[in-house]
Amino acid sequence: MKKAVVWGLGAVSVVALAVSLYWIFVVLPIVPREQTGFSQKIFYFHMPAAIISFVAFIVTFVASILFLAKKDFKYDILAYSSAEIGLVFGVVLMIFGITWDKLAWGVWWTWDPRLVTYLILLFLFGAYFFLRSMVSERMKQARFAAVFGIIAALDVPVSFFSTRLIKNVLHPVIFSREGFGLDMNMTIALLLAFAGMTALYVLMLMLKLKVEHMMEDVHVLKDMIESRRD
Amino acid sequence: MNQDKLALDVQSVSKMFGRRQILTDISFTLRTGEFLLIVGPNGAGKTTLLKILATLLSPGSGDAFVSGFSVKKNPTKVRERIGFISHNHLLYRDLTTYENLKFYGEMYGVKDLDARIDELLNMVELNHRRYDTVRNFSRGMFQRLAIARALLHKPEIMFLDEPHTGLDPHAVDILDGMMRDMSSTTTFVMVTHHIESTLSLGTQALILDEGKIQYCSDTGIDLERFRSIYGKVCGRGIEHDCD
Amino acid sequence: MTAIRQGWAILRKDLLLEMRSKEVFTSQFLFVVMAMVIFYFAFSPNIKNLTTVGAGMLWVAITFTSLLGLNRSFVHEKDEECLDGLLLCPVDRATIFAAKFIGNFFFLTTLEVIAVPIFAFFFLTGTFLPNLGWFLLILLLGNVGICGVGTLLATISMNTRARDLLLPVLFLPVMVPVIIPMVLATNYIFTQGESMSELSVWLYTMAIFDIMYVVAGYVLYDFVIGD
Repeated sequence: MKKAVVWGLGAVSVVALAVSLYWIFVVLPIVPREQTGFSQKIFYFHMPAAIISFVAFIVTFVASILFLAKKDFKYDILAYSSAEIGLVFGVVLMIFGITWDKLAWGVWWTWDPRLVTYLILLFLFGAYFFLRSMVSERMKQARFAAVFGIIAALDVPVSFFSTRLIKNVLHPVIFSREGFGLDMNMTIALLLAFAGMTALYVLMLMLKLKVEHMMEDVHVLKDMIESRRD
Repeated sequence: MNQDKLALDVQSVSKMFGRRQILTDISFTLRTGEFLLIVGPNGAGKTTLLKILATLLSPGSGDAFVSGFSVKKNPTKVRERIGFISHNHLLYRDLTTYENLKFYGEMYGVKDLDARIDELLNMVELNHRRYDTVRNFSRGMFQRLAIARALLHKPEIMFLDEPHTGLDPHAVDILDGMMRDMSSTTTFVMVTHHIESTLSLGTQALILDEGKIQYCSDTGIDLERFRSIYGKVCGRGIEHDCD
Repeated sequence: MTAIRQGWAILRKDLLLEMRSKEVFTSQFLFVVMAMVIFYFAFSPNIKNLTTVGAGMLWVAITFTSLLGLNRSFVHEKDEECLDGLLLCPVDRATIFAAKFIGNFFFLTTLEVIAVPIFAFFFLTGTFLPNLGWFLLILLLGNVGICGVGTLLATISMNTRARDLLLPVLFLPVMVPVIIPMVLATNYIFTQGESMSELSVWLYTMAIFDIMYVVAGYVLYDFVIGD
């Protein structure tokens, strides 16, 4: 049954992404220069990636709370697996965002509130993994990571909100998503890309969880063998 | 048996550190007023077991009832009733003798604290150093003050983790004297390597090896069985330290 | 109440120990003054009126200096292995958090009482004294946030292999979104000095952050201390 789900998700993901690419590049017209022209097409992948990375971190947040409540390692595995995939999507997101800025405005980095929020998010989840690597004992590692995961996730809305405060003082936000006013074709493209990326996230998460659970079993067996040898 | 009559009721306690099994299915009981000796080679899990009973570590599975209270569900109630002496003296070096005892006394909510401090300092013969910072104390003096610290709140159960290590004879005398004086009113649990010298104090014994109970006395220490299992586990007679 | 008596005992002990050794205060004081001197030389070639960068400099200096103090919140327990002694006491772990938090807050505020006038003397032209009340409010909110999340994170980092090296890695990304309103609000006071109504958004953000993290610290502390 599981195999069917994995293959199904894979298929959905490939098909949705392929169709969305077709839609974006062939069906949709290029928007006018003021709305950043050709590079606007990045939007259809950029926004789903943003939402999915936020969702991934919310999963980490909830899994962290569940771990502290139940002390079951499967929640810890879920927490860091989702954080890892969220981090990957976040990095991809940053690359899209920077590329878009470069193509649209000619500069790699602007202190755009969104970019700054995502950057802080990446640092938070980078710190999460650095913390994990600094604790050898499994239970302690999971406990500390869960606490920091909660703190980091709470910080996301604060970042989101406070970086928007910058715009009042520095130059105004260059554009906003709302400024586009999506028509039917654009909405279809967005939904296709969104579906494809969501399927991709779930697929990656399931595969990662499977690998991690196997690794746990391997470690347990290893320890059993080693202790028998002593 | 009614849990209220038992000083300790350990029920299937297991503990893992990471993925290593340190203790496996430890179960035993101890009546009030007894003196339990826990022995075994290094790495047997003795200190881990003691720390679980003292609520410094949580049991991985199982539970332990100390003076009738669960270490898992009621650790605070357990802490009110126990004293702990280890080779760490647990004292603040930049505080004076008096200040150290006053701090712990307040943490335990000891009534008539000043009088109690006087009483204890006299008992451990440290009254003359009352207002000195403990930084320059000798090991024996640290241990004597640690005894005073552990007794501030008149605990029902005393846990001792190899307390004789590195002590001068004077401190050993005070420690042993304290244990003898209190043996009727207090339950003792002591992890030790020097089995021969402490055998006279003990009324019950537990031998641990690789996290499992090898010998657990019931109505008293069966010396013959104890010697033979000790010899098997530690590879030597009881005149020698275990590992 | 028991918790108050115990919290006060811990706080008093930490204050006594710090008064005897003065290690943390001295190092923090030297650090913050040197930081300001370095900032001066870093910025003065390009900026004539240093008031415009004053807010940023002040909060950068305070944030980094606070790391020194936060790292030391458990120094006596850790160095002298007294942590078990504290954990053996029948005290709620949340009470330990409260006592350490208040202690850190007190030390940071004491430092600022001396450092901020020095800072004003070095860098601020014109006077912001009419708005001193607002400035103190911002300092207060900032300190609560720094000490609230800092005490929790310092306890985590103290228990890892990396010890004090880990704290900046954990603390700074969490603090950055809060430094933004702190700096904006402070800058506003230094440079505008007119109507204070704009401050409210920034102050609310700081207040929400503070409440969130002090509560989180209080609730989660049990999971990070001991074991």
